[in-house]
Amino acid sequence: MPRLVRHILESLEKEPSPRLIAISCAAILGLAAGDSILFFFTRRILIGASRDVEFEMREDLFAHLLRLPPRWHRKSRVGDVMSRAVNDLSAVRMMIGPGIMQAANTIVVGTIAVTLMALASPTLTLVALAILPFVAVATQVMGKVTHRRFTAIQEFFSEISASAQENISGVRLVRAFAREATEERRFDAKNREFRRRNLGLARLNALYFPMLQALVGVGFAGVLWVGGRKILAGELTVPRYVEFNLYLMELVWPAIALGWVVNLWQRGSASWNRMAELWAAEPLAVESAEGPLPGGPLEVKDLTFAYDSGPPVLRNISLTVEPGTTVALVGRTGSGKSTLLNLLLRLEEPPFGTIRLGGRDLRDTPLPLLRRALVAVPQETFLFSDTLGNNIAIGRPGATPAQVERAALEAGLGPDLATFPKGLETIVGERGITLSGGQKQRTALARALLTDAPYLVLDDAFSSVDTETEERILEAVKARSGTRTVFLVSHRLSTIQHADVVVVLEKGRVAGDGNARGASPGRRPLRGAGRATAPLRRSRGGVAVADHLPEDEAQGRGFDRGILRRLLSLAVPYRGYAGGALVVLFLESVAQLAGPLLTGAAIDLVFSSKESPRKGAPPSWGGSSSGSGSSLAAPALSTPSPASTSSRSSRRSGSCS
Amino acid sequence: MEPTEDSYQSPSRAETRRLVGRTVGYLRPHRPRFLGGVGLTGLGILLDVVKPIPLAIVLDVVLGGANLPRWLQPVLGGVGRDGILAFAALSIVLLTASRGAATVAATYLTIDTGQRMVNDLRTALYGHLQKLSLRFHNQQQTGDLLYRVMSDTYSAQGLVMNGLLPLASSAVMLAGMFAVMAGYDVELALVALVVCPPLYFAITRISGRIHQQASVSREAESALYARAESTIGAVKLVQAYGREDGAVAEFRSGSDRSLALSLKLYSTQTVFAFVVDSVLAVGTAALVWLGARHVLDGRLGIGELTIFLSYLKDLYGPIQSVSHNLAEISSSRAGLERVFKVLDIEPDVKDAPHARPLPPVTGHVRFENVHFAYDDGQPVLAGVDLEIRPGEHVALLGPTGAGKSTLASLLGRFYDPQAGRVTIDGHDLRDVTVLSLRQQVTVMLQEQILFHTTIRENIAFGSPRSDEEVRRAAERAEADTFIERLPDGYDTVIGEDGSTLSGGQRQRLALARALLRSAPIVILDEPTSALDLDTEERVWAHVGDLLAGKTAIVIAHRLSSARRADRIVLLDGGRILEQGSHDELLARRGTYSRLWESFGDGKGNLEPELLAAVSG
Ligand SMILES: Nc1ncnc2c1ncn2[C@@H]1O[C@H](COP(=O)(O)OP(=O)(O)OP(=O)(O)O)[C@@H](O)[C@H]1O
Ligand SMILES: Nc1ncnc2c1ncn2[C@@H]1O[C@H](COP(=O)(O)OP(=O)(O)OP(=O)(O)O)[C@@H](O)[C@H]1O
Ligand SMILES: [Mg+2]
Ligand SMILES: [Mg+2]
Repeated sequence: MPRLVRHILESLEKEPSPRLIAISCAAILGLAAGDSILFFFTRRILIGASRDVEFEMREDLFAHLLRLPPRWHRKSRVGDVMSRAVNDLSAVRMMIGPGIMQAANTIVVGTIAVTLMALASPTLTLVALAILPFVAVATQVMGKVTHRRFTAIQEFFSEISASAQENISGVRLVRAFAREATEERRFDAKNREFRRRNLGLARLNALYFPMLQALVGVGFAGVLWVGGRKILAGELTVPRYVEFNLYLMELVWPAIALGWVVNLWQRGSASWNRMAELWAAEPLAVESAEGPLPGGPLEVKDLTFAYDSGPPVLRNISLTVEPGTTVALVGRTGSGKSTLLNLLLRLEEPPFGTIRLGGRDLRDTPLPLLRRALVAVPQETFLFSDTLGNNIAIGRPGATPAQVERAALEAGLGPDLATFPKGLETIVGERGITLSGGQKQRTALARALLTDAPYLVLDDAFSSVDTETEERILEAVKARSGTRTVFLVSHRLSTIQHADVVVVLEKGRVAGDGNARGASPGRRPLRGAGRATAPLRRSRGGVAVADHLPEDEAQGRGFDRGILRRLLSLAVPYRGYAGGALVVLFLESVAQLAGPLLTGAAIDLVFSSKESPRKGAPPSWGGSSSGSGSSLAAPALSTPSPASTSSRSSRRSGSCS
Repeated sequence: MEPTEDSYQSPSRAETRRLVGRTVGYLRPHRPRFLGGVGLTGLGILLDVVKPIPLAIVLDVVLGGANLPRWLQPVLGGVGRDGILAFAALSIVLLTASRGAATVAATYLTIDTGQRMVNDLRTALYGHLQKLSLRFHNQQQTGDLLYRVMSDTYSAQGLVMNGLLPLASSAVMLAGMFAVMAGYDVELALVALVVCPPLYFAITRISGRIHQQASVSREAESALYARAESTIGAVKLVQAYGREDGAVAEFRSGSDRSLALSLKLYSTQTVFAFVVDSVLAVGTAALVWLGARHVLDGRLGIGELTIFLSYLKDLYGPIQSVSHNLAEISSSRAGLERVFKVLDIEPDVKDAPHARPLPPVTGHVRFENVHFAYDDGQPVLAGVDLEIRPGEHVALLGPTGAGKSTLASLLGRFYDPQAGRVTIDGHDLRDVTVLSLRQQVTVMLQEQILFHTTIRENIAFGSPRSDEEVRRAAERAEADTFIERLPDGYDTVIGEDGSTLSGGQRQRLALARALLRSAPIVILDEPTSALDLDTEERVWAHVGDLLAGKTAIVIAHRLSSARRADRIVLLDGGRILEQGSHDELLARRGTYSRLWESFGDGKGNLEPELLAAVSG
């Protein structure tokens, strides 16, 4: 390339000046345009790819979260999880998009410029590079502190969003208890703390970048001092010195961008660690959805279960349910009814060998099949802000409107639908807040009824429904159920009357069971049966202690190679892009370096042709000033590299995440 | 509500001005800092202006052998070449160092200002959300509001730091440098400005498009966020129905749409940056061409031209930085608009101008011909007349969807009736301040809302009650026994929405929370629906004591809860159907007596064998 430049210069030497000027202007325009176009493509490709990766990661993360066991979700807060999935992810994107782009740019420009510098003057190169160790140390320190502080900031942000999320979703309670002012004060206090932490990091960055600039300044001064003396001593020609200075100029932004990259990288990796905590949780295995639906009798044998490391909630439960029976599960609040049902649904994992469905261990039954066979109305009602119809159709996405309507009618929603102007198309507010308590419950019931599953689990599904309506619904359900096996949890006799079998749970044990309708106080002394069951305390040996959260393991883990590998694996689909981007980047850097050189040389020639031709020392006025011209004009004429613009804005917005 | 691409109108200039004005309003309290930041930025620019001089001196004086500029004569008059060289090197270090110091302070101050603005805006929005009525909240998604509070408020900082500040400093530079440049060569200085008209044209033409795309893209992100938030909140349901794949597919399609929008935005942005870069390059080229001619004509010194060119870089820099960040700036602006949109909504339940605090009441409640409908217009209450004397306990019964909870929320003034009025001790609720009203009316809501924190804090819920009082409330709600059995007792942290408790346990916590407040009027909406009859019996024994002397409304489906009340009110079809005591209503042989017969064994005995079985 230098040869090309010299060639151009030589030919230019013979031309008259005005044409020279025109040519050099054209060169400026051409180079700027080339640079712009290349810049355009680099940005498009890299930013585009990093967005792609971000969205891909987010989708993967979402899918992962939905597959984490309920055990995990009970410990987490939605606001916190969301903050990681959005806020931390965007820091990671900054790391892989602009971060990588800047790093590549820095490396390419840096390598080329240093090589050229070394060719121009090895001594001056050494002088210029003497600041490197200081830069390295400063960067190292800043990186470490940034990492630590940024982690703390993100954690605090999570905390704020989680509490804001709870406040907003619990707005009714806040109103009812007139707690608005307290909530606002608390929020403000948290925000102040958040700002304080943010500023801590901002201070650090605000110190770092100018320090880097000052170091670069020292480098320049050193070069000026040594170079100037050399020129005076006749050891260096002015053109060489100018050429050298020119390259050194090109190194300024990469050096500063390097700090920016480190900053981005540290933030990204701190955020990545927080996301990795989510990834580290073990999801439920994806099992095949092929095969016949499980059916047949349901046997529970000596089931003992405890949540996490707590005391057993269920002890030595044994019962057999024949297909087609309706089983009522009753017992005092907290006796373990919902827990038993959750185990049947495998929302909690029962210990191996304790529950069998149709002769097959429940743990060996593929989950998708199990979930199609067993459908539940959980005790707490979940509704989405969507139409009533869509909320019902969740369990069976392909259902026709007629089927949805039939399920709604079966669930006793008929009279209510009649009062809704839009019927099934009515949008229910978030969590169904525009419905009455009983309407919510019946919507959840309709959802279960739509699925036609052979096993139906109703966990206190009528608690907000009046007894008359409940009666009507249960009659309708029974009339259509045929061989359906139904589990009913209730505290009402009116419900239990519909059962063939009543199982009474007491403090986690089966206290007695019998036919509800036939049972009368005289005939079946349930109280006695309760007392008669096996000894109260048993060793904890058989208790399935749920494995500890993998989250804990992730916490202590640093930014290791596993994470890097994972990041790289995400980038694999964009290999082509990345390669292309690198090539473009290289071209861009070349253009960036050639621009000032050409202009400088052109100006140089214009004036040296006017005055005496420059030859060695002592330097002529023309030569030297052309040097100053080109070296100063250099940054002006090349489009500022992405580093310059983005690092500038990054310093301004500093800790803005 | 959500702007689509077709319907979205790019904002008029007046709106832009209003938005900027409003943002600046948030800047006002922090003016000293901000101005300090701007001043220091200006100083930095000044130092930038001086920075090339030492090098120029070296080249011209030390190497070129020219004379020292006049202003340096007194300082460096007798110094030799070596000395001047040393002086130049030293001043480079000093200049860069002080430039650095100015940057430190300026950056810090501006970030500080930005953070303070975000803080103010966020707290303002959050506070406003606390004031907006439930009517508003009913239509919102938590996720969307959360996105506004947590993400959109950042835009204040973004807009100031990436937009206003560079533009302002660019304007300052423009003025300053124009003056300097005009001093050298007026013609050249004017040429440097020729880029302005095409720039203005480009900005007005393209930035409207960018802004529109940024708004749509932000809305899409927010919608996606809200969707994800509610799905993750209901993950148990999703898993119970095996709907994971479906939910992921839905998320994916929303995400793809958002990605497409964001990529579109960024390509428009790059095109825009390209146009601006080209205009600036043309400007530079024109200047070089003209400048060189002037040098050849001898009207301009070569050193002066180089200074010109280096200023040009500083001048165009901020413009370039804005144009390269325009997508982010527009997106910030869209975010701010979303924040202001909510801030602009007037709370529809708010204190009347003449509202006075409600004096301590005896609890005389009257509903007078109350008519009420929610937004869809279907009447829920159609002429309810009900008087509750101080200290009276009323049970509200009725089929599901009859309007019981609605009636209760009118008394807490969550909504205002469309016709008729609600009074306490003769005060129309609309004439008293909301805060003073709610301090005297306790509403236990039908849905239990619990937070991811300790049991104690869930019960106390921000009120400064002693541990002893909390415990007593829990005892009254029959919650004490199970709380004591938890690993950390009252300090046990429960899952979000109480997910680590049983249904009945959650309900009792909510009840304890209501019982902790000592208001003269208490409304309990289905307080014991998830309890077994035995526990319910005991809860009522305590609660009955506690409510003695207070006015109470208890909503229940279970007649076992209802029959204890002084009066039973049967609500159906938005009107009161029957009312009277348990015995009176039984004697009347109306709806209530029919209900009573289908309940229990029909003879007034309640689930005898069940009671027996579970009380062992
Ligand atoms: N996720 C959990 N982690 C720890 N303990 C739990 C969890 N879920 C429930 N428990 C405890 O297990 C016991 C049984 O709870 P379960 O929900 O099965 O009761 P239940 O019989 O359904 O009661 P209710 O009638 O009130 O719904 C309770 O003491 C409860 O506190
Ligand atoms: N926020 C709301 N927006 C619109 N409609 C509502 C809203 N809340 C309730 N409704 C409607 O008003 C009617 C009465 O609801 P309300 O909650 O008062 O019933 P309820 O008597 O408490 O019933 P339940 O016993 O089922 O709780 C219902 O038809 C319901 O759909
Ligand atoms: Mg339960
Ligand atoms: Mg209700």
